[in-house]
Amino acid sequence: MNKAGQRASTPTHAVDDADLVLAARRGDRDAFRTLYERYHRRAYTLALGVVRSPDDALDVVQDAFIKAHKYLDKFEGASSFYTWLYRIVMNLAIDHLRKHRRHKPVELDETRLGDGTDRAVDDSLLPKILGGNPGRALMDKQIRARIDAALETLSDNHRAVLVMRELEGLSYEEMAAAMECSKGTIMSRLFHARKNMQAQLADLRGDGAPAADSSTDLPAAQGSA
Amino acid sequence: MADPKPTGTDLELMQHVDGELDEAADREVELRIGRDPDARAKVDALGEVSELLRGHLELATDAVPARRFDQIWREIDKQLDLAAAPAPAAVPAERAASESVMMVLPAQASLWRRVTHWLDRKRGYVITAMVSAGAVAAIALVARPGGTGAAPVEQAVAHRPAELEALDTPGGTWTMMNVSDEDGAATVIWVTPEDTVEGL
Amino acid sequence: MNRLALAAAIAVASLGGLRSAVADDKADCSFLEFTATKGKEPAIDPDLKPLEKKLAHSAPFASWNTFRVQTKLDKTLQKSKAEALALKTGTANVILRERSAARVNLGITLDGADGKRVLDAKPDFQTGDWFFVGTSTPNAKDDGHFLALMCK
Repeated sequence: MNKAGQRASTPTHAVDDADLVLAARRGDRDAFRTLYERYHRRAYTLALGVVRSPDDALDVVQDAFIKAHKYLDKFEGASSFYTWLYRIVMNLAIDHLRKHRRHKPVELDETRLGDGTDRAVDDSLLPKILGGNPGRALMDKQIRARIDAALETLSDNHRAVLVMRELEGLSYEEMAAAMECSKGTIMSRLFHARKNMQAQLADLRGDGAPAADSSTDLPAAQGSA
Repeated sequence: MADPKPTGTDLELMQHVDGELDEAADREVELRIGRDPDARAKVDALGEVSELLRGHLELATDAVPARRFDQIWREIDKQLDLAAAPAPAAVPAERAASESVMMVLPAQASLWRRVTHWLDRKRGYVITAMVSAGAVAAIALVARPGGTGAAPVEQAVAHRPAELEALDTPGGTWTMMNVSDEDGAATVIWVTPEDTVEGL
Repeated sequence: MNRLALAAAIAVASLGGLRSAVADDKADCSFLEFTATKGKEPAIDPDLKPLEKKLAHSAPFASWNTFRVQTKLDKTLQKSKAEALALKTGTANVILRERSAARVNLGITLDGADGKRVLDAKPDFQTGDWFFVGTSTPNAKDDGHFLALMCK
């Protein structure tokens, strides 16, 4: 677990993934099915975060497992099966976006966020926005719609690193390998993705409702409700 | 367009939250957070976004019924079988791509491929069935019960699930499920109206 | 099951159907319009008894426990002749496009109570199998409204 309480990258199971991979390579379909059962939901969550559409995310998951099976012989075990699979999921998800051109293929212009107020120009993170109770906030459909809309504004790459980090707790190194870029690029993308998300959600008050008027003065931290 | 490089201190806060700093740097940041309410608020905000995003996407995943993932597995299983089959006639890429989850009535080439693949897998049983059919025909010729003239022999037919030659659900999305039990097989088309927000 | 037993089973099954002749221009079909809700106690309409196992255990029906028939119809479909089905909620039209001994190919349209088209499908399925179309009910999104059909 890291400081944010995110789960570690490698889950533990009674039968090791490595053994299942070996068995699957030998043609044991049940072994591959077990791998599917272990990781399909998490693969879906990751794909959903990137491609945004439930149906498309299911397609990505399906394609990812088919591809993983096809290339099982090439899986050398340098990373965990889990990490290897998620690399496939991410690549397919980003490919999917490129093919369907739902999102701008370029990075979001960092200096023009939301309504263009000055708060977005500087390169700093924003303080707390929801009064310390995100769990309760998620019960609100309106807030969930806002989160969805905020994700929609991110570029593909920003969304990809954000989702990989927040969902899977992948290290910068792991993400750099998955996206075939430098660790510095990952850090930069992640930083800006988080900042953009905060900016998109900044007008929400501590009780979760949108503020009556948008302001550069962000609400002070509140105790949990 | 490349992202502008983040400034040192807030980037360090992010690295601290992500557990990416070495011990010495991490200790320094911890001290700073202890002294600086603004730094503390920013660290809390990072955690907040993380929780919101994770919770939101996990709720969306939970909203997907298990049957849907079972259906995905069945399709994966089928695709893996097809991939393992002896070289069939090539299916155009567009059709192969569109066959992912939907069941569509295949054109001649892919239907033949499915039949040949099925025959390859069930060769022994097919031969058995042919021998049986021959026996039935022989018995029919010998027994020749009274009644009207010869009628077509209704032989045992391998069950095939439903296929969709076309499906349109204006104003909604659809999901197809095949269910089967000892009482027989069934196909369900579930239409989700467009204004329904399922999980998202 | 060993091959010999299987051969015998197939032979017996085939003998049973030896004298049946299937007309290729009509199909005898049953239609059931029913609602699916979550009630305090499980309940199933007697007309749905043949489907009880599916409704109790299979997706998507397992989400509900109370199933009530709204309309029950038996019709003989003539090839290429559309039949309108008077449903309690909305309307449906069905047409027999093709059939063989073992399969029927239908055209189905389903319109909601508001007259809007919900579905336009051309399914091809085995005789004796059930084919369901379902959607959520307009005023109760957690409930289901289904049209089930089976042809022989």
